[in-house]
Amino acid sequence: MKKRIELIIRVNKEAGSEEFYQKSQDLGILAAQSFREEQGRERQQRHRAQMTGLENIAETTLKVTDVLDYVKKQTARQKGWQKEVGANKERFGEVLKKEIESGLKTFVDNVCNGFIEGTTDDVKQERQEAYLLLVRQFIRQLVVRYEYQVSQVEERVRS
Amino acid sequence: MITEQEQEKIRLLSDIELYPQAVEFIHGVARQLPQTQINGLLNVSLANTYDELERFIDHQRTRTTWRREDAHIPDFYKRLSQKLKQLEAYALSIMKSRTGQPSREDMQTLKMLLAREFIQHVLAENAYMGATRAFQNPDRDNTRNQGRPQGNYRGPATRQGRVQ
Repeated sequence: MKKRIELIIRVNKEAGSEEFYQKSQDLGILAAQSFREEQGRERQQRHRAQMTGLENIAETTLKVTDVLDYVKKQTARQKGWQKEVGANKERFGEVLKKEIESGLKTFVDNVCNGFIEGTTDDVKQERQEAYLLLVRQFIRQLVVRYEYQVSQVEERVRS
Repeated sequence: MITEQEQEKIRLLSDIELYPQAVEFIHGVARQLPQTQINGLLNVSLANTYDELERFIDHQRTRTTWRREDAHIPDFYKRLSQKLKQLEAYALSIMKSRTGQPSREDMQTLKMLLAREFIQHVLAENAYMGATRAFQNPDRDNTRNQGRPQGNYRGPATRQGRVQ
């Protein structure tokens, strides 16, 4: 129990780090850019559903790869996920997949260093849990930034 | 009956072993798997037993009525069959922690759970590679039209439209 509490504290600390926060904010902005060009309230609602779906899968699953499979399938199905946006012509689905697959590894290492170490299955399971908790935090922050960004755009349109 | 501990091991295996293996597996396939095959394989893997899954894969592998553009599909099933055989080793290692001899039923259930994880990763990567045009031969990446007749086909003739 004590170890689990420490794990949560460590994950929260890492998720609050400037680098982690910046990454999630950048991706939230990219999501808003990817989906905002779609006009009409109904379509916008549908894109909100994309973000809610992403958040739901991250919150309910017990495997990081379920989130990755979801990202891949949505990228294949929904135009917004594969649309090139911004000066760098980035695609939301591709960037999110890359971040989860490899970008978050450093943060997982930071959480586990001196705390979860070894090569047994139990240790690997604990490491996966740290990884999943970080993925959840990342997606939560990303979705909040997306909502904020979209609301800013809507505000500007109204005024 | 698969225990909670065994399910945890399956999840771990799925994340750290099956996922990268599935990605590597589908990267070795020349073309995207058509939507009809994805639906079929997914349905069989979700609703059937391991024996039935093996029978389905075997049937698709040995089928000789493929269209020319689907010539890569039997090879996919051949490789999938070999891969699932390899994955059986994981089932044996998971079952090692049991004190007694596991029943055949439990063993088949465990194999099915592992196969299901692998297939889901394969199908997700298949869809992703199709969308990002990452296949070696991306000339058939629009899977929505696969299996549909070519030309001005307007659906089956209605009863009223048929010559009496």
